Amino acid sequence: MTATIHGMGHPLKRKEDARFIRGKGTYVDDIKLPNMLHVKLIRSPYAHAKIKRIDVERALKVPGVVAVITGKDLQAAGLSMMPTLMNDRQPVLALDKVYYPYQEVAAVVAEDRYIAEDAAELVEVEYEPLEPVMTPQRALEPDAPLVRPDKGTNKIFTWSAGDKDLTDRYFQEADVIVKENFYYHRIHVAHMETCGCVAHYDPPTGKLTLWMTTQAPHAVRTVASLFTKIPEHKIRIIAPDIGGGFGGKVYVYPGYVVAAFASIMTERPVKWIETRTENLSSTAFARDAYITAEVAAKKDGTLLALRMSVLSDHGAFFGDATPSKFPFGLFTIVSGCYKWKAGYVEVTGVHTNKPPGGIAYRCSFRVTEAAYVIERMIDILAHKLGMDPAELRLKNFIKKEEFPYTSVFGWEYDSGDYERALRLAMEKIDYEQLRKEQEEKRKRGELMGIGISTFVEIVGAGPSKIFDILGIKMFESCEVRIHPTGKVIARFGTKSQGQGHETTFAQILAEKLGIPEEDITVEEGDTDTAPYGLGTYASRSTPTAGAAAAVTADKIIAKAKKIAAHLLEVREEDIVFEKGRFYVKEAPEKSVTIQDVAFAAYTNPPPGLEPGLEAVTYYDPPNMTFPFGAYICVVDIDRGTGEVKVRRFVAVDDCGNVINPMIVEGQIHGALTMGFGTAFLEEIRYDEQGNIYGNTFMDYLIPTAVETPRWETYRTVTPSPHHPLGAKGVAESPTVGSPAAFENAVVDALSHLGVTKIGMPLYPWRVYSILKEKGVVSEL
Amino acid sequence: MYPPQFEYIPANSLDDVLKLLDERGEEAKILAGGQSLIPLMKLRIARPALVVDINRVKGLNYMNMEDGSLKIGALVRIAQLERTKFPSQYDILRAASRQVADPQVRNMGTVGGNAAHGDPGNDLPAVFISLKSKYVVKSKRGTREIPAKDFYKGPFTTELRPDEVLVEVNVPHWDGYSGGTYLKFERRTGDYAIAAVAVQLTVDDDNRVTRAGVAFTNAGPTPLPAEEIEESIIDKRGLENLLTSAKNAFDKMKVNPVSDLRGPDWYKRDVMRVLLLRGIKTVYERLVR
Repeated sequence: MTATIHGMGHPLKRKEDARFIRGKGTYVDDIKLPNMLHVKLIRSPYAHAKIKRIDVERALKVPGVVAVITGKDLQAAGLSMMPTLMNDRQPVLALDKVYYPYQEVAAVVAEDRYIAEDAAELVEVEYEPLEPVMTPQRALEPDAPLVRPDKGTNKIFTWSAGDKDLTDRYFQEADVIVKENFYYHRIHVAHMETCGCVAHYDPPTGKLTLWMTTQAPHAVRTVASLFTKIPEHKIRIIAPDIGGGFGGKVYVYPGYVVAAFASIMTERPVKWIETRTENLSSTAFARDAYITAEVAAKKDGTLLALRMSVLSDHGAFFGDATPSKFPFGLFTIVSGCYKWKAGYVEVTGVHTNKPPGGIAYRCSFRVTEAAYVIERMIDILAHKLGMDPAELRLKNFIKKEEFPYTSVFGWEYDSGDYERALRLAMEKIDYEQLRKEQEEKRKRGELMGIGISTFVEIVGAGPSKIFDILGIKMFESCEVRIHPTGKVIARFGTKSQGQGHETTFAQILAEKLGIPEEDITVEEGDTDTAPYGLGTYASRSTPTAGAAAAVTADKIIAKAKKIAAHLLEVREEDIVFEKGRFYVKEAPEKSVTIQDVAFAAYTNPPPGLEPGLEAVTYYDPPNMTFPFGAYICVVDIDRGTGEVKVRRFVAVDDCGNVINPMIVEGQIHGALTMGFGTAFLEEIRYDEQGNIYGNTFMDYLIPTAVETPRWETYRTVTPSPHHPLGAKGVAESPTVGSPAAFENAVVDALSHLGVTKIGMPLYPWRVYSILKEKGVVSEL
Repeated sequence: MYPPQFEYIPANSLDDVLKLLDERGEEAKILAGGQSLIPLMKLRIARPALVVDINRVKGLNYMNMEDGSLKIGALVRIAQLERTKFPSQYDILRAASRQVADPQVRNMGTVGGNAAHGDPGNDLPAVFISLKSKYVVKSKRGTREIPAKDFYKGPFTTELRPDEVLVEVNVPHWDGYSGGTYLKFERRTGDYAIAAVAVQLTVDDDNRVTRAGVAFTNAGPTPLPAEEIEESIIDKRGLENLLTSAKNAFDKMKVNPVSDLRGPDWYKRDVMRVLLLRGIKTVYERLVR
């Protein structure tokens, strides 16, 4: 029975792949409606400039151009300023000023995209360039230009957590203090599918339907309704197949608003799809934070306190996708896997002339920055103490019997066994042997390094008492309906962008209901049919929607028991449910199946019981889940070029109980590859004039199969005690945990030369300049 | 990624191509593999009024050994080059072609296009320079041969006149004691080189270098022939000797790679030198007896 049910723990092939690998998915750009118009956005070539004049006359004369929209047109409709996710306001189309390069300035609406592009070249915009503010350091200088004259300052917020006085006291008492400055560079999610939408306003019904690339359709509908004053039941958001989100499709971009406005204005469907360069240049960025980190310890390696000071760049508008109470996300997970006496974090967020965003790129809100910094700092401390970095970690880990453990920043870690994960990784990579090899190689002048990262995440936002987005609590939902023949439709408030929800959610329900997964359809992304939810990002779907599915199944089984008791003519208390079968406790041979019960729910319900078999759950998680892992990376460095070759990478992940091991494995491979890209290849950079570098796939280098290391993955299982399935989120662990392992390995290769830092990306020229400085380059 | 309007003419014969170029060469671009032209048009950087597609032109896809020289038709795809087992003196062609961009690009991209485009980042020009090749170009006015080393004038600027089309790369005879390699260091597969070098050597019975070809990719505004280095190693024998001579010659050479996202100029220069010495070592060690 279990084999056909394909419940928890089964390595089931992804159901959705049947259409994806045949090229039969339906993405937003596949939506083609009769009479559809196309939008081309005209964008600013300057980072900071006054707009003196916009002349659309020549563009309007191009045959096939239906309209050219400017900020003034939107202003007339009261739609010129849209809310951001942090309740700032940003212009949909620039009015008198542009605030960042590639900002949306005007829109051509035309019969086809080629005409729109041709006409866009004829829109004349006269700019008066202003001095741009391109770094957060510059933003805080007294003579810096104001990015936002409306705010009167470039500073957005200062935010702190922890106990400053206690932390300071431990630093005074410490034997050893290490300090380092880090820059976690600006990167972009670079999802394969760029952002876009098809807006269809239907005049007879007054209903606006938006097919859009969004990870959070329900929240978008509410915000859109509040912003446009269109009643919420007259807005339908449909997120069809989504080609990768990684946080970048949580933000609401001006293009969506322009397309919706254009559709209402023209009473025709309107499509807007970004080009790759538009996507990399203007949609939400990730990271871009300067972090000064200090760690205090005893000379035996016992950790005492940590102190972090962050300067973060949020661009021209404060639009971070982050829970309202956490302007720098969950950075306070920076205490990591370790026991501390005290900790203190302070963050200053500033405006610059860069696009807004600050999204959680495959991480749960700034957890990546935190994991990177603390895991780098532990290595730096180990180096200073002359201790092995593995030994220092083992000494300071929170022990498995100490869970639930309250961190110095107040998080209650649900469960963990950090030592087991690290020891498994050390065993699999043969750590002792590698250290011996390194010693021998050093004698010969060869450069080889071993890097460790033992990280913990905080995912599954989140408990409603502290987590909300724009005031909407971060619960998640599941609605299950069992049809008379025992087949199931389940709908969720989440939205898969490649995570495999159609498979994993079906498996959870199969496990709990005893119905084969192939009889279960999972639907998400249509706000007219799915229950309300906050969407998929920050590894929250399994912790929240997965839990909602389990609870919903329990509700259905509770009702089903009543029906089974009726069918078997016994009392409800005498019924036992197991693997799809209801039987009489005292007479197990007397049984009915869940399918029998479903049929009876519609054809023969017990007297006094409502017919039908369905339930809905809005799940408010009691706590976050805390997945963790131990990664060890081995690198060899070419002394002639600075090239770093990743020889081996062992990843031990622990995400509690696993729903589908094959999907978990795939997620880990994908996220390790993204972590590798972050550490070695990817960067969005601006110069002082505000020119952007890295906004094409020629220069924004995402890894290919050729250079991607061969990942060796292992797992330990430490269930979450509070999650109904004992599961935790997983898909982001490696993007969070791996960058520090890569840099630690490169630094480790050079540590005998006194090197403690390289800086990401670990470009060959960056490594080579250190080799040169240390006099160890090879001419051959 | 939407190009402006252009006229598209698929040519059926070389005569058609030459006639079109004769009439409208100034406003026309040749479409061969399209791996450079199409992206440039999509970005609206290239805006030819006329695109002449030569993919249907017969007789431009060939590789022949004739009169001791290797003749490569302009429409030979880079993937064909990659899959051809050349006599060992031409092994550089295989070594280099497999490092051009990625498999999709190589399946479409052509030898003629890679050579004629004039992008200093393209890989094959340095290879053809190191092999002392000539480019055969045709127009209605006639045929001329241009040494590869003299073909490149600046970024995307070549000796090719508006009415001319490159039809063949003519690689001269190299005897059996010859061989070469192409060493390319790139940020990531599919990228242009941070630095790359083509090294082609002939060694005599005494292990003395008798003939040498050296050229660099992405070392400045054009593919960079390195005759100074070639001269410095000709008549020399012994690896240490060769390396010392090449190094000294390189250090005296005017090499001006530009600082960009691939690294600062000084770094690229260092990498060029490392690759040069590694290239000489690889080839020489393979050829010595």
